[in-house]
Amino acid sequence: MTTDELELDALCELANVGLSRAATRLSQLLEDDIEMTTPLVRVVAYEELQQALQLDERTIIAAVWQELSGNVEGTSMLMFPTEDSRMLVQELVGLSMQEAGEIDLRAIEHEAMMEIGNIIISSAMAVIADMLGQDIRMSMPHYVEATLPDLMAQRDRGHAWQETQVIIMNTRLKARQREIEGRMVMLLSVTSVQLLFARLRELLLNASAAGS
Amino acid sequence: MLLDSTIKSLVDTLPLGVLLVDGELRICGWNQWMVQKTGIPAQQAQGKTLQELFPDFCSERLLSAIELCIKHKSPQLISQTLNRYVIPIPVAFESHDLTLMQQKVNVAPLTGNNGEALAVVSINDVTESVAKSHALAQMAKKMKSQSNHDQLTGVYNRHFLWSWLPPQIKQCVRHGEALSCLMLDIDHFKRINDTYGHDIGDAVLCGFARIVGAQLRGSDILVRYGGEEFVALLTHADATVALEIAHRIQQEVRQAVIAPLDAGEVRCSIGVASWTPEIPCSSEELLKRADRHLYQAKQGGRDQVVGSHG
Amino acid sequence: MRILIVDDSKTSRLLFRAYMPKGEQHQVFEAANLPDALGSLQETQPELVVLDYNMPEHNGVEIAQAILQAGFKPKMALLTANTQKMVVDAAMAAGFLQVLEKPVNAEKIAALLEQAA
Repeated sequence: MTTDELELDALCELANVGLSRAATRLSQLLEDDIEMTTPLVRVVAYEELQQALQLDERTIIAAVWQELSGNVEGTSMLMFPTEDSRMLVQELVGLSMQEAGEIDLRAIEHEAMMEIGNIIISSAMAVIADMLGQDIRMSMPHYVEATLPDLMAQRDRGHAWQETQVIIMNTRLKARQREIEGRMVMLLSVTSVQLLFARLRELLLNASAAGS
Repeated sequence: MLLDSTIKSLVDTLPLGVLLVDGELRICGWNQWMVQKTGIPAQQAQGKTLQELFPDFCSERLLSAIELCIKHKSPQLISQTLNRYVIPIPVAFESHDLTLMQQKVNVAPLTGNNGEALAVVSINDVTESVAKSHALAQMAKKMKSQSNHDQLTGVYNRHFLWSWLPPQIKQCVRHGEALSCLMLDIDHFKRINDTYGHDIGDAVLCGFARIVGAQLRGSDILVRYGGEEFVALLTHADATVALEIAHRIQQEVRQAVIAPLDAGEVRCSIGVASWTPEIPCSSEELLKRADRHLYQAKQGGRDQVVGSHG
Repeated sequence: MRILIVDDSKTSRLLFRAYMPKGEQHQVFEAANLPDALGSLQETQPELVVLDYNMPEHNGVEIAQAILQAGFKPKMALLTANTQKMVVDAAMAAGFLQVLEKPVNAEKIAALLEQAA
């Protein structure tokens, strides 16, 4: 394996451990088994994000995000298709559209999705921080349903997007017989990505040295 | 206590519960709201864990959230929706079957005076708004059942059928009129739903209801009886007239195009039964007879009409 | 002790090696999938097999069952990031000694080696 391949393998393992831990925490909350596929990880430039996610610019997605600070600067975002997330929440809360009335259901859905997103993002980031020995702080979670361009516009208000790289982790979660495709997207400054990969290389180097 | 006196006074005025928890899950801050709602004075809470203070305490989510806050400084949201409450606190007045306070909780990281990692748990009482939601939902449900129409297709519902039919039969007795009942069922509806999805399934139901309705006269009524089952009640119609109408309906349905299905893809089975002064019966019996004929139509291969005349 | 680590992630296998105790007489072999694992069992006869759970074609418990069916009888442990009840239950039912939660560290491996001895 080349160095790049090994680093990507390491990043994949990090994503796997992080998201699995998140799934475990989620299964505790929802009191149900959560099946999760091994995440597919890619690193892309900010401009390539929409294409990489294969999202039409008019599709509305449900997103939860937390701002990152500390050793690493950027945003960690979890994206779900709106319809799937709605059905999942209704399943979890045991409601049917007709029972709750549309207006109330919105608020309930948002709150539940925000907590689910919060658990996934913070659990995954915690594992990544631990494994790389980094101090990563997170903000309170935010929830929004918007198109990808609008989502990025909202985020761009606080960041210099030209200096952003994206790490995408794609996975499918299955809870209560409902399958939902979730994408955890880490939007990080170029410096942060370099730092992450430097730490990954260190980790691998130390491991190789120790194991020989 | 860890807070200096001004801040402590401020926290004591807040209309929400604030408690501080350390790395060993021991309470090191407990504000006035918590004292009032739990009846536990601050000195008693100090140094104890939540499990020690509340034997019924069982929120894994809260413990998990505190851990994430203390170890990784990650704020956590504990929704009322998925958790209902974290600390069992009985409400003063039971409202809408809610005996325990419903809580929306946030956990945030805080660094203590000696640099130690702490978690701030803030508890919002949302019982009233949850009770209101439940009340609204119940009201909507009640209104729906009291209404006489099927929400999807707009035709009458069962509720209306059973209030309309008995007096109608009484009238038939008085005036010596005939009344017929058609029980209609869309063939292989489940297959349509599975193949095309529920949205198309709904469109087929609406289309079907429209086609059937177009064949009825002003004094007749059409009812959505079940998922894909309808009942048409034809006034001043004996068995002959009813069979004629049933056959016409069957033809119209066969020829109809309900997008994206082609003509001929939607078919139905119809059972016909009639009430006449010579052979009277109750409302239930009339429907039962029509149902039996519908069953025969299904057994006979579907896409057909079965009545007493055979 | 001869130990076989089965995990499709090279990083995970590397980390496992890295946290093995130094200066003791252990040999670590690696496999990335079921065929490799069976091959290694044949060649090196490890006493302990450590398996990852989430793998592309078969999960760790399925691979363990295949190993037993092939006639090998090593001690087994599950090394996984997925420690939900259903996974732990499945592992225990399949006769695993332990479930180790990723990320791995020296203490966890030491505890495993003690139990496997």
